[in-house]
Amino acid sequence: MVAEAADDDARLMARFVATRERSVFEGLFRRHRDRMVAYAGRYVRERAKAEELAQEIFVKVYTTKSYEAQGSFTSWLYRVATNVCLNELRRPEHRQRFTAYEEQAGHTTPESVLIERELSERLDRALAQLPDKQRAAFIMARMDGLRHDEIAAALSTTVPAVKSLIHRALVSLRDAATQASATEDPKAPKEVST
Amino acid sequence: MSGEEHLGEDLAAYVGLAEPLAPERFDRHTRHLETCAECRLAVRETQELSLALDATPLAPSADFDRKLFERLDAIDASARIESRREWWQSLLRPSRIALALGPVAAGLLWFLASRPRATDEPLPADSSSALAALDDLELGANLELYGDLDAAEYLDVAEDLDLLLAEEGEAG
Repeated sequence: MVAEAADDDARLMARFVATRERSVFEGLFRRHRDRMVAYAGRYVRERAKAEELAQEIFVKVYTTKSYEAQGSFTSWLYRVATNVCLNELRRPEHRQRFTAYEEQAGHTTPESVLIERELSERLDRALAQLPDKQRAAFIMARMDGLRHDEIAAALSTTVPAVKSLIHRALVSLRDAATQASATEDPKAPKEVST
Repeated sequence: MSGEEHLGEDLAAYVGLAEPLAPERFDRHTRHLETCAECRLAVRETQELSLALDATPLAPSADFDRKLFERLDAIDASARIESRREWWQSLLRPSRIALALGPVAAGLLWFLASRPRATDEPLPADSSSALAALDDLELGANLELYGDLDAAEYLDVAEDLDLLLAEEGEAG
């Protein structure tokens, strides 16, 4: 495999590891903080826990002893983040704990809020039940807009494998969503999957 | 790709859930959808799913940065303490101790070896006590010799030695 050219953040990370300059780390941190909090939030759906995980991600970055400046820093960061989040989800006390942190705003009726919340929670559960790589690939693609090659690097896999992971995750989530619709409307036609 | 081919793994990208497709590929899928009800349904369901998943991302709270930097400060402080501890531990390693004491021991040996012996030391000028001490040393050095003589056991003072030697000389 040919080593990819390092992006700016990858070079900064290499500089930080070599010099331990706090200001260099702070630059990286401020640029990626929001997306890491959001990413952790996709796994645990609970603000306090998500922030705890995001902090853990940055502590891991800060305490990294060796870093090779090549390729995308974002991919490397997501690899660290995915490991931290999946390790948390594997802890027994985390399982089956789904706390919605969002409240629907706007001019919706209480009934529609309930329906949307039920669908959202059903999708959260479906997302949580996906195999690790499927879930990580789907979240990175859907929620964070990473390119397939970035996801492949983050998950140490290939681009075709990433496409397959995303597709399988999507099929599972669509099944969960359509089951929710069927529960709301028993006469609704059965879905056809692609 | 033929017009009959379903969207398959391009479905996510087609509805914007993954990296966008190349324009020509996107157009081909669009043409396919005109004739494929199955893919149209899949696209519609996936778009609904996309909306349901479109939750606002969690944003960090106001004290997120402060909490993190406090943790990092604690990590740095702990690393400094650990570094000092390792430094002290490294000093106490037997090999280091031997290395450090080697020159000291060598210096001590050199000092002892090069130190002038007592007999070579210059005598303090007109010091009667020093002369007496020299006499005592002479006595000590000749005690074996005088041990052969019966008179030696009666000697109490160093001055008697001179007398004894004189007598011995006369006898010889």
